[in-house]
Amino acid sequence: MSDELSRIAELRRESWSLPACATKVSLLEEAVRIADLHGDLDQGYSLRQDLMEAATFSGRDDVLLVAFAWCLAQFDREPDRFDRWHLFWKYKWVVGNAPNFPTISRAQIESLLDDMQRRFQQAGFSLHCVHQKRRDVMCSLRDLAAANQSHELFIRARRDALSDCAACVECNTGEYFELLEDWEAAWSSYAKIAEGTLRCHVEPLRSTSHALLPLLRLNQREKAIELQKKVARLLSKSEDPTRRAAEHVTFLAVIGETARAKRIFERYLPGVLASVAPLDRLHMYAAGVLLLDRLAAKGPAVKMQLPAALPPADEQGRREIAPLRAWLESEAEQIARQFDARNGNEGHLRELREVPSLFELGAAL
Amino acid sequence: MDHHFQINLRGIIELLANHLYSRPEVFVRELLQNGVDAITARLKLDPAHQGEISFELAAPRGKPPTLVVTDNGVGMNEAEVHRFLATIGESSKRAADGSKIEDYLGQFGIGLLSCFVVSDEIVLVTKSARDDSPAVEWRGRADGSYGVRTLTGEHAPGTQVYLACREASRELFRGDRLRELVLHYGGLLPYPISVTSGRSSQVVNRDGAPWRKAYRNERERTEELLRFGNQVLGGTFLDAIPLRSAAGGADGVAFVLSHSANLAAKRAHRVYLKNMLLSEEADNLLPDWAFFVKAVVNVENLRPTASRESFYEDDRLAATRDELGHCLRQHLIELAERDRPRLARFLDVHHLAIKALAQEDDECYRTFIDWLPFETSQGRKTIEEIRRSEATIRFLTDVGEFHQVAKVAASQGTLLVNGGYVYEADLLARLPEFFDDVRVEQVDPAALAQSFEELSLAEQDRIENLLAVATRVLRPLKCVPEVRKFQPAEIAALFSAGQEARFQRSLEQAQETADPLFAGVLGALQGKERGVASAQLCLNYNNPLILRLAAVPDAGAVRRCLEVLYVQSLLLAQQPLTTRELGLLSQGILGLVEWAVPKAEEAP
Repeated sequence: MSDELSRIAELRRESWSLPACATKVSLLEEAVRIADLHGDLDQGYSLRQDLMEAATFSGRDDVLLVAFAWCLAQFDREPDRFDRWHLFWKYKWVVGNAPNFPTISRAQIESLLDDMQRRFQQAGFSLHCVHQKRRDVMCSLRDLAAANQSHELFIRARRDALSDCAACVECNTGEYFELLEDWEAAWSSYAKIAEGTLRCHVEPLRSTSHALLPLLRLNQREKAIELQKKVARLLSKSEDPTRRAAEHVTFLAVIGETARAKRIFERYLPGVLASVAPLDRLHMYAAGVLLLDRLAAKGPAVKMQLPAALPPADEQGRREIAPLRAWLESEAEQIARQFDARNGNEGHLRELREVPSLFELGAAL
Repeated sequence: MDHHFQINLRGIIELLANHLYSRPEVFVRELLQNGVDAITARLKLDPAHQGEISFELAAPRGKPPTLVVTDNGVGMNEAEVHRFLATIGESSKRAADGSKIEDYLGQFGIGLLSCFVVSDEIVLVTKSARDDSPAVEWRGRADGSYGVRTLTGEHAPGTQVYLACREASRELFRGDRLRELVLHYGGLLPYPISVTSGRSSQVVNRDGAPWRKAYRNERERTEELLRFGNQVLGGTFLDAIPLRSAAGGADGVAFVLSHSANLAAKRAHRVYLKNMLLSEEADNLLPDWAFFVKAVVNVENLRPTASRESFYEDDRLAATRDELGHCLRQHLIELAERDRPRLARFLDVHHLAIKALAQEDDECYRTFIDWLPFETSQGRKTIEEIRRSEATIRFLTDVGEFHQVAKVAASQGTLLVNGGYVYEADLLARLPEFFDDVRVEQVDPAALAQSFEELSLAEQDRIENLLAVATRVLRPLKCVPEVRKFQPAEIAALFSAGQEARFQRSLEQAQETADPLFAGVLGALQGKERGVASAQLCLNYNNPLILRLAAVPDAGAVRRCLEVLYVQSLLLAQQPLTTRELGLLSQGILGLVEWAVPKAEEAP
């Protein structure tokens, strides 16, 4: 028994010394396994709380879902044994990230939202964060009408202890406005972080990266370039850079900074390929298509270091652009169709088709 | 018509006291800063001017203590006093004289207000060095009112600020405390700052920056710097590495931590800007991999953000960071050439940091890789030791996988390296780039059995039926059987699962306890998208039980035995059991009992 406890304590200590990353997830999974093996419910529960955090911030939403389902079941069995607030806080991550998996149906996602709402309401919390999550999830499902409805409820609700931090609220609201193609409103939300003082665990990287294209659309090229430079370094320090990398590749490709775009693409593509969430791949592949279109202007082949899954290079490391582009495009399209089929609309495919037209943004300047 | 808001200065000051100036003692910094900026401006008029700042404390009987701060800087005339001291947010340090705003420390125009946090009244006497205008007295009160009058008589150019201590700030108006604070903020300033209290008067910053002084030898320098590090940062350090950057006009020392550095910890360096303390928590001045040092650095031309904890990310900062990183790297490389024992002590504590560095920098990879320790199935070994014994270095990329197979590998005499920690897999994979004779192989734990001894054809024949039954039994459990020979012979069956297979096990385990909603969501997550990740059960041909089982004709009994063996192998591999597996175990044991104990009517 004491062996088990000391091994768990050791793994937990090791995990504390690391930022959210694959190693941290592995260490905590190992600790969870030991706790379960010995039927230590309290350790199993509290280690999974740490595991959920490490998983969420390093892009392992699948691990989050599994650990959360287990914890919620234990909580329902013995509600007085475990802390409600910490579990509910993570429910927001679960609901927010469930749409990243196209195999999870729309009905299931809506049931999750309803279940979360019921639980929060019964526990006496404000629905501020529930309305926000519903709006954000509807954005993910590309259902603007439903998103609008929830937004109206959200802005009327009172903040409370389960509300997202001010920076995250602004960033998510920016995403909502972006989907409505209200670039001014989107930028005014992002600006509070990108140019302001709002900060959190994932900011200013997330909002600033989001803001790059809207700024181009608002003809603020210089500002966009300055901001991209400002946060570029944060990308390599970020715990989950793959989700931001695609935005930087897209932006740099649009403004013609192909060398920098290519470096970021090469650096983060392997992580994207390994990612459990197909949405990450969709965005990166779309960005890659844009980048290759830019590079095609300089010749039919390009030197690139890419993972083995992609069309191979010749002996000098050169790759034909056309088959590479075709590969990325068809993979992206396949993923987009998967999401659209689940969402019951054509939002992702339409966005994908519009990607080449982003060049006009660069040209217009 | 337009009106102006009335600002309640007292309220603003309370806000400042509680928020902007998180500690009341920063008034010392603001006063020093104003003095330094005034002297900088005066030096532009007269480059030979000798700057000087003094702090004088007096404790008149029955009255609150007072502080007089005097500088011989550029001073102000009456118009400037009205303009700069009466408007919050206005700073005299604008580019009026053609100088750049970056020449000055204070840029935010609210410095003097911090004095109201400790004093209800500020009296300022100033005489401009720019013109012949008379000296001016400005008397500002915390309620927002102020008066100005010109003074007659001789006044030397410069500024004097008088503060009378508020009751709550008495502790800051003590000689020893004030000396500490002045040294804290202005210890590096290049002209004398004196503090006088009662009869004692001393120049506080006589020593200046210790890294700029001349020493008899390297050893004396290091000892002196380490003493300094201990004094200003607290704690003891392993080494002191000089830092210098032309780009940022930076110089200073990096102190090597004496404990293992924490990758997740906040970087907090002590940074001076133009020799005035800017921050003790600057976080972006050194490269990310430099988390094994705490630095004390002065910079001349980098731009701080308003929070004072970072510098603006611009090309100059990037160049500065590169140059400072280069200093650290060079020092370590020289250490490798000159002082192996010291390097060994260093690596003992900071190998993780050096792994981070080696990953970014080829030269460092080449220099350090041989000395870096890795966890292996035969204990901790350096790459050099591993290279010597293994032609092909085999490693795993996951901590959990490594622990799963390390013991078995050890009993086979196989050396496996744990590449599961950050950076390690990358470092191992790159070995062949640097060593012609090294091959590396990433091992999949589910394929570990591949390294066990294979069976001869005759042996394969003997086990063929057992393998066929096992395949059928294990298929619904997402497990694939294989038969090999391995040590120790007592182990009948060895279970191994890769990362994905272990994830699937945890998913199934959660699904069994979850409510229908979550069970459904997890089911959807499991979908065909992910493919089937099989675990593996390796039956041991060296184990007598397996051979006996291969000879049992009753397929039902063999099935039961295999199920129990499977569950036993899970227990051996310390895998928590799912409800289904527990069911298999109890059914299996009951079945075996039934099989072994004859039924009543069959009994003789």
